[in-house]
Amino acid sequence: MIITSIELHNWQPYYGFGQKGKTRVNFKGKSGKKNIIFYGQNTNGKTAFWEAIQFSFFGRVNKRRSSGIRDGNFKPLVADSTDFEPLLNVSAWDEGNCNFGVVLEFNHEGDDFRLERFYQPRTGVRLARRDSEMELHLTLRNLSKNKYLKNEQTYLNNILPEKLSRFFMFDGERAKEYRDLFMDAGHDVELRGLIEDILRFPILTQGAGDFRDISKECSKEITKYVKTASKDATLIKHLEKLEGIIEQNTTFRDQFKNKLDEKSERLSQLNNWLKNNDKGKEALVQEEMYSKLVEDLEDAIKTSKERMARFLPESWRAILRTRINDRIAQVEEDLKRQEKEKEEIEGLKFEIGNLETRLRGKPCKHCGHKQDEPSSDEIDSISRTILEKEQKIQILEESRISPSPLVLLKRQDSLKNMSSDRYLDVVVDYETDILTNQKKLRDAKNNLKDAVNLLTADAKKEVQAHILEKEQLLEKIGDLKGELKGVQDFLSQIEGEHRLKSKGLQSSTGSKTKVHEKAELKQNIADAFEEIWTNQVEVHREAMRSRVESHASKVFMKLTNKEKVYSGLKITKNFQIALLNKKGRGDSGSQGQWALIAYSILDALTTCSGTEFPLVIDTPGASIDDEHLEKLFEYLLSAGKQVMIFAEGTELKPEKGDSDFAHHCAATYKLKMKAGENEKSEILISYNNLEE
Amino acid sequence: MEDEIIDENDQSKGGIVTCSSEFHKDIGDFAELFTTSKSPIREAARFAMAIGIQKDRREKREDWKKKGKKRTIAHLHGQFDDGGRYDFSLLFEMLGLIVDDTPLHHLVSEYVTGGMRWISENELKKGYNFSIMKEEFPYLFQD
Repeated sequence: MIITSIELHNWQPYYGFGQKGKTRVNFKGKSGKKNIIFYGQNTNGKTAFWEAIQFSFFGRVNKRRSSGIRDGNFKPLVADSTDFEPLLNVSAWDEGNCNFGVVLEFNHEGDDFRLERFYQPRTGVRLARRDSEMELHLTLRNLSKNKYLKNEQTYLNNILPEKLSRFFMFDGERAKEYRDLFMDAGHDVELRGLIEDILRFPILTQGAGDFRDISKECSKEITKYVKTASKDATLIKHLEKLEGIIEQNTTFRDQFKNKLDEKSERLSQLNNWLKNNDKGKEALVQEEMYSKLVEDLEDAIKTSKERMARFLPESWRAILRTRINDRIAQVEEDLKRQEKEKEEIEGLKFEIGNLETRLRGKPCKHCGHKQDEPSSDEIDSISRTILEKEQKIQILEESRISPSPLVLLKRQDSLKNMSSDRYLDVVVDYETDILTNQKKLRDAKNNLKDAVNLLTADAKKEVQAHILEKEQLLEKIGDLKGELKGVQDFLSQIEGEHRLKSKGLQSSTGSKTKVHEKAELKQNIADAFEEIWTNQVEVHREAMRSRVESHASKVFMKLTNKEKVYSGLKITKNFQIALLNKKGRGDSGSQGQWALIAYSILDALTTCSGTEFPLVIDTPGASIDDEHLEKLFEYLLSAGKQVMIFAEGTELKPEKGDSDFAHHCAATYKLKMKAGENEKSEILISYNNLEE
Repeated sequence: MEDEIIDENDQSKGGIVTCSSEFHKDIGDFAELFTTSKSPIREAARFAMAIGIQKDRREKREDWKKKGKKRTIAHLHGQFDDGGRYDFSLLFEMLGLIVDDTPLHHLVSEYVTGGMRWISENELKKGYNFSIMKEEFPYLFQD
């Protein structure tokens, strides 16, 4: 489906009704261009436009809190006692005009359609003061076939069921919700349900169930035929006993199902109560959130302190490192000196030995007679030299043992024992963590205090009582599900036995009537189809999971700037998503990275589902930095789907948007408030590539 | 951080290392940063002593010993020297810090007190100003 134009009539801040007053925006660009960018500051009517698409399709608009959370409640049609802005333009209401609505033109599977959804006061009501005084007028016309469709909402739901709209109409401020949805194991049932819905698994699963039902019907029919023809009274009696057990357990199963439905209904009521009890719920949610945050931050600070405390002991040695190392160097020099002196002493002793030999004269090798005896002058000279060398040796000996080499070695050892090559960078890192978290902790404690103050004691008691009941219900539902499963398993077992016995009975009867044979054939075909269908669903499910995983990973790696850190995404069989680092291990990722993951998964799901619907994105930049945002815009606008981006001024300025991305678009529009008129927004075309 | 039970007049085991009463509380607070050590106070005092030596912050005992009850830290031998693992006598001798008429345990106490003053002045005792050490002791950091 591609949206080709939209008209707003007295819609939220877009004042004006009818041919002259309406606000119309054309989306049909030249050469098939279909993307649109809306630029606008907050409160200039950007989200109202986004909501117009939601309204035209599903007839209602989620309330949006300041936190960005849409909680399942809907905006009022006309101004009521709540603070929420109504869908009807307030200025129009002041003037006594209660007509408002949205007209959407779109192309779906080759045909052009015009969808008109208007509200006007009921007959007899002049100025509607509550929603019940308003009346809906909904028409859906196939312009190509010039035909009005009868079941408009059913047709629209077939194009895109409302519960799946969150995958196509994405609010950047809700990126955290997607992170919770994808990451939290507690949400897996909801997530799996939604993802299976969008990938159309239920239709396939239902197919297997349908064949099973056909087979069961055939089985009953066959049993009836064989019992009529058989003479085996014992077997018939046994079969009848089994049928009795089946009947009884079917009743039990139905009772459990009914109880489960009742509990689920009550759970739904409780959820609604909690959702509707805005202040209490919000305060409680905030209280829980900030309590958890305070706890987490206190833990984080404690951990950093512990790490610091593990590192700091012995760091005194590092502080003295430079001076201790100087002394170690000094000791080592002494040791070297002493070694050198030792060598020198050895040399001198050797020389003295030679001189003494010379004094004694050289004896003959044969007779021992002294030859070459020194003269008396030479003896004096040699003796003096020996004396000098002995004196030098004495000096060196004294120096060689002062201080004692053993003492020096001990000093060297002791000093080395007191030196440390540790660096303290990590202490400063821990300190930074502690300071940052302490600041966050102060903020969180203040927020917690504010949240607690929001709740009066009575309100707190009431909300908590509901929450307690909800918890008990969830436990009861869990028990019921367990009991239901037990009964169902037992039933399957008995049905299997019944089936086997029936077959035994069939073989004993001999000839069969034609209707009997026909029923058997029908059952065999149904069984075969069920088996094939079930196997194929599993194969298809795995193939789709793998396709979504591969596509989402590719998109994420294109969008992220941390391609050196991450390797992609992992999607489990339950469609829980994990971010993988280069070592293939899970990584918690930052808020910004998870916003990108949310976009990647949405893109993968919408692409793999085959569902055609525009991707409508409000405040795309929430949680995403500028660099990633540019990549995201470039990717989305060039991906081939129709994309509508509602960008806030700081996310994308018109000049930049028009110069960098407008070539992907049919047009870009600026939304702004009319000067001096609080309730009136206007739309100005910024870049025009529209069909004439 | 609790005091260790030590008689400050005990002169056995090398005497008692103490700290000025002025830092009685501060050294206890500072020791909170060393809680993984088997004796945080001693570890904190050794850290302070190292700072005192490196910053040449000896505070003579006679200037602070009469001001109030001293903070006893540990016996020099067996406790402050971690069972003889560290030879402070040698360290002080090698660093040229020995003063003839001053016993070693008093010298150590004087540098501990000087170091504690530096720690207090630089608001390091709560452990949230270690970044100042980057300026004062750049060789302790790689970045």
